[in-house]
Amino acid sequence: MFFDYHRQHGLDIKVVRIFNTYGPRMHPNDGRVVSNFIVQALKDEDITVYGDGSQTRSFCYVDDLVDGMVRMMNTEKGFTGPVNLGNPGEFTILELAEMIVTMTGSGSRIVFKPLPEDDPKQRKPVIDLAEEKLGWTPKVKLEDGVKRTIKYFEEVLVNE
Amino acid sequence: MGKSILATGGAGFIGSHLCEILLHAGNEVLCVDNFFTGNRRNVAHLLGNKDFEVLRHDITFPLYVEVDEIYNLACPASPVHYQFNPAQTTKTSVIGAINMLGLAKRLHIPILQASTSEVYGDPAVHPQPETYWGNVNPIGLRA
Repeated sequence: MFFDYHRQHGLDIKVVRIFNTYGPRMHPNDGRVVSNFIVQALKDEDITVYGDGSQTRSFCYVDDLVDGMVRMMNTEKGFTGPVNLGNPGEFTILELAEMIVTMTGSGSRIVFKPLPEDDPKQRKPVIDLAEEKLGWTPKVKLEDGVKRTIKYFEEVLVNE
Repeated sequence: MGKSILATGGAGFIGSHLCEILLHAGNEVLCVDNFFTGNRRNVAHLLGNKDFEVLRHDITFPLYVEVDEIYNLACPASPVHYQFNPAQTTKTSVIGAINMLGLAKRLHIPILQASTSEVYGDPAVHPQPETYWGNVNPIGLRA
């Protein structure tokens, strides 16, 4: 529909395709893997991994993402995208769970449950276009971003 | 001089960070949110900024404001939230987007749409370039 408006009316559209993003102010109950794991770890609850945990995701820290969005908005008129914005660093869900348990010093156990419907087995962006057109690459390492996100959730949970 | 920028979904997870950096860059920001998944707390620290304004509004209804740019981030993005009221999710993505496109058209301004890697579905190509058309279940919960 955005491309219809662009083709039909010459509207200056900018489309970004956002991959998995995480960071402070994620919704604690949004069912996303990073927030789920952190909240469960901080509460010493079981950490639920869906499937066998071998499915991979690439996680982008929110500061990197919004930087990419602003860069996209400021590209020349006529450049519509779509442009992938995400971090190509790929981790299995199980690796993420183990990292979070270690970093929080949690006593949580990791438990496995069946996969939900249409859950993708793997996703990872090619970001060559963002590099070329926006001069953008994600800078925040998963460990650093997770550390900041853990800090945020620690504060949220204290205030609950 | 800074621009006047509309951010829909501006009180959400990503939107609140976006508002923050747009303000820091010297822009005026109008944050529009219906607070379904967005939260006032996410932007509470920005409320004292004279260049920041929050409007509770659902973009499935038309909105007429004068701005220089639109970032359209309004829509529940996590499966738990967007599958909670799927008809409303689709209304936001379709009617809401049409309203914002109409506003951008009327004002002759750029509009950025936050699309998603969900368009690639369960991808048969790995990793995914923009040219990949995706592998989506068209009648599934995530469609």
